[in-house]
Amino acid sequence: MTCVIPSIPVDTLRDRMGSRAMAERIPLWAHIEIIATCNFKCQHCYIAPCAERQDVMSPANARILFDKLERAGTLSLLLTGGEVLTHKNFKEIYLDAKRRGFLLYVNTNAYLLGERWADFFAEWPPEYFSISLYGLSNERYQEVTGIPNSFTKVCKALDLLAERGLTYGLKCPAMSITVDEIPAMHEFAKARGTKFRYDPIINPQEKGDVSPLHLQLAPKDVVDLEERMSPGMKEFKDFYGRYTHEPTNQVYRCGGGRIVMAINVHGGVSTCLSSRQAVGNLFEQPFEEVWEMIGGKVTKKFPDGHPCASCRFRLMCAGCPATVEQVAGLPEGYVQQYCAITHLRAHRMGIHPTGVPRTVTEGIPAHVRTPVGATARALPVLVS
Amino acid sequence: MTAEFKRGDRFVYRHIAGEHLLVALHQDRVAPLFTFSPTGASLWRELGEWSSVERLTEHLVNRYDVSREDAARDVMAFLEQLSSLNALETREVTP
Repeated sequence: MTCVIPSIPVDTLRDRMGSRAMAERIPLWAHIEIIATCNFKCQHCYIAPCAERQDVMSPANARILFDKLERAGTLSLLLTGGEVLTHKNFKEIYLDAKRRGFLLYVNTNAYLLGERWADFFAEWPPEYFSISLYGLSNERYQEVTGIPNSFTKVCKALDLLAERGLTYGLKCPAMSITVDEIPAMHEFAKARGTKFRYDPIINPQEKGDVSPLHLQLAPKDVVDLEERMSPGMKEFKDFYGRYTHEPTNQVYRCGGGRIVMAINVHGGVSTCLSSRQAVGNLFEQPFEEVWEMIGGKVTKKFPDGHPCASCRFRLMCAGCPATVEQVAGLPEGYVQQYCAITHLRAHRMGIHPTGVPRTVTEGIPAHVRTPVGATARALPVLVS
Repeated sequence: MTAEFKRGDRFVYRHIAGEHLLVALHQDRVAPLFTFSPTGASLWRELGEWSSVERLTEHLVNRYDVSREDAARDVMAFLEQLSSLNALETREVTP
């Protein structure tokens, strides 16, 4: 018998818990949108432009969630928005979660993160801040966010976090108005000793406005950027080499709805933050009922003849069921633009002969849902 | 004088996915979370109230198939670990 605390590295412990959670469908992670409004007016945003003043989670409703998630076995919470630091009860909600023993992650644009916030976080640290970076000058920031002098303020916030030993990473949507600075942003992050990631997929607004899609990079531009960021596509090759790639007709292959869920300001539950279609409501229903509903969603299968069901590049696909759902209306839909990026990626990696998906030459089966109307017209499919 | 121990308020215990976890609330440690064995978790629950080495040893002996000597050694090792994590409060009391 021993009661001692084993010396297990945290990553090993997380892997062990992740494996068990996957096997037993334990909701280890919850992404909670505590406010939908934001102090930035970003051109690409799919949440805040649709948000109303009342789209804010109250501390009482947050408490309802925390009670249920604590009992369900959730360990990590991502608090996100909108911009979380504009929530007038942020500290109350954050401390409620913290004191219950959730590991906290915070999404923020860092614009409001001054000395007082930094001191607060130094006392009650989150595991990680995921901070949006939109450029490397006030001019570029203003172009993307609409807010003057915001780069200067964000840099100051990063300094305050670093001075207090708080951990953060930087991220940027790679789109037509940021793509030229992505490599320099990566260098900026490296110089600060932190991680940087970019996402080349832009989504339409939650209520259907497709204007953000006009910022989406064409497939060739996405892959050119990837090659510039990782010469020889080394990162993709390394990633691809780690897994087997048997095609499957399972729509969901990620942790969404299995170990992860997202909860919006009104309690609506979806598979992840990228999915805006709520399945059940945790303010109104028991956890088990909602979890079962979302569990049903992630067992979906592709219809016969769906191009993704026979694809061996799905693990490195530019899209996912949630982003497909946003543009095609269903997670089992098909978005040729994602497919074009993925096949061009595979071609540059030397594992596809042409880089052109077969749906371009053979067509998309008529029974497979695809983007229509303004959404379809806004997506740059094979245009450079 | 006898030493007594109680768990501090700088950590929170969680039992998730089969792991007995000690989650740190503040920044002054090497990792955000630690894991206990089930017997460690049982002692942590006992440490909700002030308790002595003798009482904690008794707790283990009553629940597990273990000699008093081994149990006392484990309790001491466990308390030392908690102490090094700043997870324990201690006091001296007159028996």
